[in-house]
Amino acid sequence: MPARVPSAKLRKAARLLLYRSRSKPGVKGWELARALGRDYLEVIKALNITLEVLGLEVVAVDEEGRRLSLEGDLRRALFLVLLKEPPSIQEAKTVGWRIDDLAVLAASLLYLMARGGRAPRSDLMSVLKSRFRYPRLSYVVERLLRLGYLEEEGDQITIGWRSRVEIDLEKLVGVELEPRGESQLR
Amino acid sequence: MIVFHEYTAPRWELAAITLGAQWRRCCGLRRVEARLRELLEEVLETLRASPDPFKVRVREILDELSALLPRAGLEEMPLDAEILFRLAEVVKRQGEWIMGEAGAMALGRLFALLKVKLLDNRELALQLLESWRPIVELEQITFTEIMRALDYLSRRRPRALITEEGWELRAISREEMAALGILSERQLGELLSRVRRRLLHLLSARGVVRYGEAIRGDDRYETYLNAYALSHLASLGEFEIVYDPLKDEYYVTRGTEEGEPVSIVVPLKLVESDAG
Repeated sequence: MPARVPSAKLRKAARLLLYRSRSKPGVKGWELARALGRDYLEVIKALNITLEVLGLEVVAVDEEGRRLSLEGDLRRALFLVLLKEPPSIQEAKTVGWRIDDLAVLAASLLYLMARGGRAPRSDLMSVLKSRFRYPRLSYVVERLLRLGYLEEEGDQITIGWRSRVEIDLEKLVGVELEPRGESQLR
Repeated sequence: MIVFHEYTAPRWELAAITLGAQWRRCCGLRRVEARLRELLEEVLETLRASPDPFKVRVREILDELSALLPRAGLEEMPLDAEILFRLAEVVKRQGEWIMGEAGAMALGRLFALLKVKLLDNRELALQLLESWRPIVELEQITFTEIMRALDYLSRRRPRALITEEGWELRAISREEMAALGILSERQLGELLSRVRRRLLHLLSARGVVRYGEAIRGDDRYETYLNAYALSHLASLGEFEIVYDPLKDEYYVTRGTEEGEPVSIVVPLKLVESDAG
């Protein structure tokens, strides 16, 4: 049970976490500590209880996008607000995602997972082109790179940090994995 | 009794010995540098050729580096450091690879590829949605964005006629639009008749013309103008644009009275290559 936290701190934490302040979403742990004080993790846990009603959740992730438990020193972690449950297809459409764009993202991630997490850009594009007769394909891939769902390292495309944060990749593939370390919840 | 006579080498002999040592050292360094370059090239080339980080001979290259290091000069150190840096990257990738392997396993890979191959777009999207929990954030306008917007608005071409009385809100006539440079009736009329004549000529020989061929101009600008004219003629019902999803191709035919008119978007990027 988290400690009792003044509502002013909760409101401040919610504003910090929800309002976008830079191109990459999220707030660093040290920023939260500076704004909320040393007990910032208690504030976040209390905020989580409030947000649960709205179907939202605050999570902490490391640089690679792996989920961290809300314990210990998380000053270098990135804090984000996520939906607690997957969105419906109608909700995804409402926020500007097309079915075809989602399909391109799913196919890209599945292909990259099958290739050990990375593949040459030309390989990925030829797979997508053979799969999708879609004039917007290059635009969609560029958009996914820009949003962080995919990443580019030289001529290689890798699974982006945002996909690791937002998408349960194992569930997407459909394979149950062995349990991992405590810091990694998925 | 043995007597050791002290031998003093002449200066030319000493110079020759020193030069010889320098020459040998120089040749040795060059060989070290050349080998280091070869090793670096090998690491980079292997990484470029295959995404599999285990194809790089990490252990052998490290052994060779440790043998070369005592013979390397200061100039060779950056090369040595570069190779070590690349090898560290390879080891990191090997770690990621192993994690990926352990995670998805062979079955997972097969599943993943099968899903890409077999599921249709909607099913793929639904699979993604089931495992997706997107980031939630509120977007707001920043001061910089407001300034950028003001700058954009101030640089836009005027879209109103300024009269002596000042600004006036009213419907603008075609002549006034032409005066503002928004519309030129004469050119549009000419363009429409030219595109109409050309299309009728093409369609008299065949019933159907490829969209790219129908709008082809001498340059990109003319191609775009022709596309604009064709869209106007299609809106008037004189021609029809149809899409063949099997060939991913757009065609132009004569207009028919049948059916409900629909709006169709043709990405001009696809037909740019057809432009002259």
